[in-house]
Amino acid sequence: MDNSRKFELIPEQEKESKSFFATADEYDEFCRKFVDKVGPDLEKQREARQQSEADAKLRLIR
Amino acid sequence: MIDGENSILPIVTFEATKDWADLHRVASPDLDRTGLAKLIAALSTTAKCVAIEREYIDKDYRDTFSHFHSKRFSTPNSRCLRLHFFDQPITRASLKEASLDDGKNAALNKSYLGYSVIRPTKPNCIGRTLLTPASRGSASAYASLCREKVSILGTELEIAGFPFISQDSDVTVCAESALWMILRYFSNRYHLYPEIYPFQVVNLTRDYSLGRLVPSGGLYIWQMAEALRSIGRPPLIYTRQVFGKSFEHLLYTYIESGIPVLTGVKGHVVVAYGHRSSFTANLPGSETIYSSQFNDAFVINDDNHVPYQLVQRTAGAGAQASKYTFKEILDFIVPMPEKVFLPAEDFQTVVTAILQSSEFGYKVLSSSLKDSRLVLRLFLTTGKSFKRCLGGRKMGHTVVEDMYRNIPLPHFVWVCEISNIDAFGRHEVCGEILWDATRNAREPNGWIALHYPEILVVDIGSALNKPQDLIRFDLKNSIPYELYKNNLQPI
Repeated sequence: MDNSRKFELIPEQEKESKSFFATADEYDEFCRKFVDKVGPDLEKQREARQQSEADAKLRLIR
Repeated sequence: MIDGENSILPIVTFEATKDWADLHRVASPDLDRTGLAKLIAALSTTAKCVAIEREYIDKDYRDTFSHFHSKRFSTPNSRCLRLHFFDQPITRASLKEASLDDGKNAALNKSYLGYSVIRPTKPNCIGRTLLTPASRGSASAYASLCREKVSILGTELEIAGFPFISQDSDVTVCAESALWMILRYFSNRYHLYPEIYPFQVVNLTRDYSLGRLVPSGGLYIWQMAEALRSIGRPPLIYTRQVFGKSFEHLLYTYIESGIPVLTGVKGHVVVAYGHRSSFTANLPGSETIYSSQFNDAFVINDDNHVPYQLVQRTAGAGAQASKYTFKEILDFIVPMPEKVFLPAEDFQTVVTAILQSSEFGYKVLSSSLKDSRLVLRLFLTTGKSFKRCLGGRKMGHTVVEDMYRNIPLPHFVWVCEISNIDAFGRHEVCGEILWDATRNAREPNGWIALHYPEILVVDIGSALNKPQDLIRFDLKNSIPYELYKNNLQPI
């Protein structure tokens, strides 16, 4: 099987499309900014989930 | 009026409220006054007739009978009663006719409100119960429901609802009962999950327990979470104290995703599986609104009461009102699907970053939305279900519908529907962002598609298991379209 083959997902329409980013550098810049922006919140949320799990060890339900 | 009082299936027709006493008399001693009061609370406004199936062997009670009750010196009966409720009078003849004639079966099924097993257990006799939400009247809410087939004298009927059981106070207390309700929902709804009986629920925690398992002394939150993990539903735990103002929003988001949630209050746990919204709520300000802000009640099953109660934002009256309010919810456990690695709060973070970005933000790419106050609705669904609804929804533009139809999707996708106040009031949306639920939130290329009325951006790379390759379609003459309603059913 040729894995490098490019499929046309909607053959009649795809010719109407264009690449969103003009260059690879623009895309890389978007990725870098994205990771920088979401990183701190994701870290806080990971810590919150861990704290919730720790609290769950002490809560008895009956 | 009682037909065939000494038969195997007496039928009690309620001609007046006092006729519930007839049910009590025929169903005694198993149906005690407490159990009768619960049935009246659940069904008095709708039930007109009840068929009492005697000598019923209930798989759930038989499980606890075999493993616990049979070992007692004073042994209760091994059999139960099963009560079938109807909103119209029925007869033995109409039951027989319904087994032979599809039209009559459909008519009878329309009047069927569901069943409740009455166990010979004290102090709680209400066993496995599946009632249609309509049995309690309209709640104007949405909820996760499952279906069961029921046979009465050989006539097969079908009922949709959310499973309910009360604790027997020996093998099960509220923790095991709530787990049972969720597990029975999963096994009824999805073939992937096995049917699990109450004593098996107890045994799910045996590797995470100290001391004896029965009689049950309750479970810690983490033990309930481990029980869910052991049946293939990896749990996420959220506490109000830690998640603060996001807590109710996250609970709503998982329920909106069609995932029933174990919801803890002080010393007790209930199952939350639906919500009710008030779209007349006044939400001052100009910041983005989440659909959870319209939510004014969660639909719950509390094993100490009756099915389909409403936990309201503020204490409310009414037959359906739970004694709890939002602020009394302390924590919740989400039984996540196995192939969902991205939790709700992380999805919200990444999707917000996209909506505000200088490359893909709505203020940059959408002239029709840039000055709007957005309403966002977050939920999880399967790629299969999302595609199944495309034809009916049309997605505002043919290119969008065709692309979503053709593009390979992961098993689960997170969806952020984008709307504005006016369109959302009509239950319509203007676009959405689809995110691969198997992605790590730190991956900037986890999103599958972004759709505003003026543009569709699709990653045709990851769709074909290759690096991200974003293409854009400029759209003209897009129209708002129906929001996605597949996860929950109106009740």
